[in-house]
Amino acid sequence: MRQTVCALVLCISMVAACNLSAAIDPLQLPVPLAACDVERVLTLTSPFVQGPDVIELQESLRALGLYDGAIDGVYGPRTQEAVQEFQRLVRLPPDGVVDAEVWALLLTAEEPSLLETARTPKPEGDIHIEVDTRTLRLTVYVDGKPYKSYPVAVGRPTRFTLSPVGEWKIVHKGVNWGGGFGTRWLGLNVPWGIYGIHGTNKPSSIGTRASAGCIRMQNRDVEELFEWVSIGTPVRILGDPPSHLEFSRHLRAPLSGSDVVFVQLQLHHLGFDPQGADGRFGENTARAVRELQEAFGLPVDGTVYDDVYYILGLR
Amino acid sequence: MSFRRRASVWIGLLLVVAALFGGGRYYYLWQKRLLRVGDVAIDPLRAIEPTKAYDVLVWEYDLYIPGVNPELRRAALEAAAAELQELHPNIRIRFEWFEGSPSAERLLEALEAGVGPDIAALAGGAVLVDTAYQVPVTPYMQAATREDLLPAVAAAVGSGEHLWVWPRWIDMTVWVGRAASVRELADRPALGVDELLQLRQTWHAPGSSGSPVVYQVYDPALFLAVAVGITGRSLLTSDGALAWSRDEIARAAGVLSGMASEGLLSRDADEISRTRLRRFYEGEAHLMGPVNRTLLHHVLSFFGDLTHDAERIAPPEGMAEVAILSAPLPDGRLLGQYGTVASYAVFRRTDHAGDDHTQAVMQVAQHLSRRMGYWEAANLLAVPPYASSLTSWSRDAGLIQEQAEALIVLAERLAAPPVDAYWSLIEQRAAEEVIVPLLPDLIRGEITAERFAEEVVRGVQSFLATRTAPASTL
Repeated sequence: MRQTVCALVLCISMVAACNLSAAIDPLQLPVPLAACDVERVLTLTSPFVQGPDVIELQESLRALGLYDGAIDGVYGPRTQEAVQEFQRLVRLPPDGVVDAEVWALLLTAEEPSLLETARTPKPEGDIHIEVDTRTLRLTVYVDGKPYKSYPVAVGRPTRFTLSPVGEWKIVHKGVNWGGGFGTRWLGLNVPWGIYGIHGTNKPSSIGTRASAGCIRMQNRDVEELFEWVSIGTPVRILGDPPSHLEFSRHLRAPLSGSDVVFVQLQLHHLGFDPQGADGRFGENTARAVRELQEAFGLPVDGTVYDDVYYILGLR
Repeated sequence: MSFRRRASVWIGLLLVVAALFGGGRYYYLWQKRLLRVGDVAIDPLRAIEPTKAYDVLVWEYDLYIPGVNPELRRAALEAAAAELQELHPNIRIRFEWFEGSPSAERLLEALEAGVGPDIAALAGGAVLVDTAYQVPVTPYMQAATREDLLPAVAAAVGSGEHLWVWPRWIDMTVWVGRAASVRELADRPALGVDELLQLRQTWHAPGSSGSPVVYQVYDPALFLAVAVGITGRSLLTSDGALAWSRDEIARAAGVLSGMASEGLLSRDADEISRTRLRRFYEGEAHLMGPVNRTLLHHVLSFFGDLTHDAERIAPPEGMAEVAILSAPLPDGRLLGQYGTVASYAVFRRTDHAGDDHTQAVMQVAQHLSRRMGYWEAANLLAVPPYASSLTSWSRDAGLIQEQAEALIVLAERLAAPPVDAYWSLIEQRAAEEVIVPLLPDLIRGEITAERFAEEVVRGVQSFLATRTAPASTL
């Protein structure tokens, strides 16, 4: 129950934050903004609730043998009956309301048959993860070699929903948040918002650019990955600089943002190692900038001004 | 005593005298050819013993080459070493790597402690670290090689009868112009201020603002290149005295202050120093300096003047977008080009390992300087020090012909810092600590060129007064 409450609190906070993110440029804000999928609550209303999430619900109920009606995306009486039946089976009050807890149980109940065929042995060695937003694949590397690759969904190509390109770490692991988060959550230390790798209640979205910035996986895939990784596991998200980034800010410590990420990536590319591309302009980044400035005969101050952007190839 | 007996005595005496004379002369010549390095005398004609094992330690540093992975250079160096080891399987070459070129101070400490290298890669103006340990290379250099060396390079790495290092490449700071803007007058390496003023009439498009010449005020080369161009000499003499007169300094300062008062240079030195590249790339500025070899690589790449083909088969065709020039000068007469020579220096060990060991070390240093020096020069846009290499370098560097020729012309006028690494370092610090802080005021018009010259003379002399050369340098 405590888990459910936590999940609901998180969902509510993310709804609030998502509303904020539509109005504020995440580049300019140090405060964390939510950027992940949030699920609406389904129940019998008049007129009937409709949508792709209802289709997902009907498919899940049918897979469990509880629903034999049309997969029409309409939450009508037959869908409600099936939901109540499911709630009785899992010892929840049969109120026909599909909230985060119901989603989580539905998705968990779906999994066993799928898990039988998909499991890969847990790898031995140092793990890091690469997500390529261009190919829509997540690849697990073990000791630097590819071990297993999964299809993913990444952020929609709009200014506020792009997946955060950069080099991150897993800083949180969560189970059964339900709804749009699916069965597992792996939170990343992105400084300008809440992003993670998680499951889904929309399996058909995998392989598309459909999320609000998070990396979506099939639930069975994220459950497998969840067992392999730990807090601190590196996650590199690859992608091109978004067209809206102008690279005009005078960057210096302690600023952060996605423009800092691309500065860090380009510094590394040119041979000046900022010790990662985490979007935070810290001492390592300043040192790498100073080294670049010395090498190219620019004024040495460890900050990113016009000419540094030109040397980095970002302008 | 019979005549025959007397004759025999005389002949015997003559033979003894002849033997003594011959032996004495041989001894004299042998002694003459010996190199005195500290308290050790080394015979440079001593050969390598084919059956003896030689272990040669090289101090190398990671060199930043745009677009080239440091591992690639390490691999090239290992390959060059392997080539020599094929010829001399008894010579083992080991590399010890440093982040930057090791300082003379660090080298000397290691040499005195008996843990120094046999060979050290030097850069940034350092040539002679310490006469007590550094072995001059002249006696080991073949006459043809010596003749092939550009005279300006020989002057930059030599003193008296000796060359002190095996040169690798010439590192220069230049100016660049948009070729279309300066082509009419760019048939020689330097532009005069009067010529710039004439050109400005064609540069200023109606309604455009901003100064047409952009600069980096915190780079000591901004002033040094002008002063070296006027005098043909670097800031300090070989014994650590100020090499420029007050009038010469004032004349060089007058170039910069004059350009500022004519509107060629912006008086906002700090702002222009951080935006000069943007202004040059976007067409607002027509001339930019100082530009080191790394920035030159970026500029030429930006304008598509550089061939990035890994094989570097042929230079790009057509007209250059960028003209390579010296710093602007009062009358366009270039007497010296500011720059340094990167090199390999050879040292004897504290416990001298033998003249044959020194011979082996010299062979390694010479081989690396020729093989790696050329490879680095082609990748760095630095000019190789040997005349016979220049034609192939022009092709392999990926430069357009007129750009390669401009760099060669500048290299031939090289005027480097003092040979002594100590004074070379002092020169660099004096420029940074005395000259650079005065430049913004000069360009803003807050001090005159004459006042600037007085301040530089006073500042450099008081800076020098607190420094004395170590006993074992020149």
